[in-house]
Amino acid sequence: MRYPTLPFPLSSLRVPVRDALRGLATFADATEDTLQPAMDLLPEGLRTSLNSVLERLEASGQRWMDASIAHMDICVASDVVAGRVSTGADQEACARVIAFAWDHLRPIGQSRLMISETLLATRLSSDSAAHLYIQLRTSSVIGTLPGVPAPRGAEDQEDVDLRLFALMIWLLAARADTLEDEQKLLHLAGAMSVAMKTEILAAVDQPDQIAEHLRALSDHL
Amino acid sequence: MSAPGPTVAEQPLRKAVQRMRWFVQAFEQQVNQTSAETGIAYDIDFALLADVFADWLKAFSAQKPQDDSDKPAYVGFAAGLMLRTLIKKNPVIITSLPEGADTSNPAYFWPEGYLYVAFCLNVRGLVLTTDYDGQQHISAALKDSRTWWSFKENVAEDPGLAIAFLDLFAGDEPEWSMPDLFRSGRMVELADKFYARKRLKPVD
Repeated sequence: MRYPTLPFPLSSLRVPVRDALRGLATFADATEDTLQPAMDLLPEGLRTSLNSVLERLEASGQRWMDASIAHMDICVASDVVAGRVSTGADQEACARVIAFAWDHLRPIGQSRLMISETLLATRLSSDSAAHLYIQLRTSSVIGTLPGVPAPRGAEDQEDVDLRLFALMIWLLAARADTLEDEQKLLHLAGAMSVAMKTEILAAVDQPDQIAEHLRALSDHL
Repeated sequence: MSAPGPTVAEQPLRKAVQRMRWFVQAFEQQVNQTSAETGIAYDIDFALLADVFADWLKAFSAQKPQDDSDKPAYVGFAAGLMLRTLIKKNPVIITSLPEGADTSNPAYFWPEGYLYVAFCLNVRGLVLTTDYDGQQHISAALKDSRTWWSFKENVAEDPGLAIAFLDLFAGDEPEWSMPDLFRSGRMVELADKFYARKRLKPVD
C-alpha cells in the first residue's frame, strides 16, 4: 500500500499535534478491542468497513509518529537523560524521542497508557537519570489521559516502571550507528527490562539502587 | 562449527560478550551457520533469548573473580554457565530436519544441544584466543555419540552438569562434583593445557 507524500516534514509538527496523533492511534487500537464483542452482531460488510477504518486510523497515527525522530535526536536525548545538557530545544528533542520509544515498547505491557510529549518536555531537567526515572514513574505525564492526575492500578504501574526503565537504559547505552539499529537496541532494552523485572521493581523508589541498575544494565545492553 | 564474530568496536572481546547486543547478534549468526552446515532449520524465541542473557549475566556477576590470574579460567566457566542457561531456557525450536538425518551424529541426535554447545565453544575459544593468547583444544568427545547420550540425560536431571560437559568438549578437565561453583586458582592447574604462551597478558 502506498501512502501519499506529506506536504511538510513531520518533525515540524507542533508538539501538541503529535500528542493528538498519538492519542488517535491509541484510541483506534482501544476502540477496536472494545468493540470486538459487538462486531459479531454487525452485518459482514459494515464490520469489515469499521475494522478497516480503525486499522487505518491506528496505522496513520503510528506512521506519522514513527517518522518524527532522527538519529541525532537520540544522541541529544541521551545527553539530556544523563544530565549533560538541558536547554529547551534539547528537552523538546528528548521528549520526542522518549515518546517515540514509549510507543515502540508497547508490547511490554497490555495497558494503553499514553505519554504526553508536550508535558514531558517541561519535566526533563534533572541532575541524574535515576532521579528523572523516579520523578517520571509517578508523574501524570503518563496516563490514560496524560496531565490528569489519577491513581494507577498495580498492573499499569508495573508497565510504566518497566517501559520507562527500558527506554532509560536504551538512552544511557552506547549508541548504535543507524536509526534502524537503534530500534533493534530499543527492543533489546525492552526484553532486558522484562527479564530483570524482579530486580527493577524491587528498586523503583530507591535512588541509589535504581542508579546502579541503570548504570549496570545500560552497560550490558 | 564456525565461530560468530561481531564485536562492539574498540572493546576487548570479553567485555563485548557481556553486552546483550553482541550476544543476540552472535547467537543469530551461530544459528545461521549451524543451519547452513547441518540443514537443520531453527526458530529463535527472542524473549527467551533475552531471558537467557539476563539470567547468565546474574550468574556470571555472582562469581566473577577479583584476582586477575583467575580471569582466563573464568572464561571457560562463564561459557559453561551460558550453556547451562541455554539448556534450561531452550530459546530455539527445531522447525525442520533434513530428510534421512543420521541421528548418531550429535547434530541430529540433539539439534538444540548441539547448537548451544557450538555457540558456547566458539565464544569461549574466541575470547581465549583474542584476549588471552590462549588456545582451545576441542576433545574427540565432541563427536562421540555415547558422550552425547550421557550429556543429554545428565543435564536433563542436573543442568549444572552442562558446565562440566563443556569443559570436557573443550579439552579441559571437568569438575563433575559441584560444577556450578567456580574454584579460584584453577588457572594454575590448567595453564599447560590451555595456553600457547605461559605468561598471561594483564587483564582488567
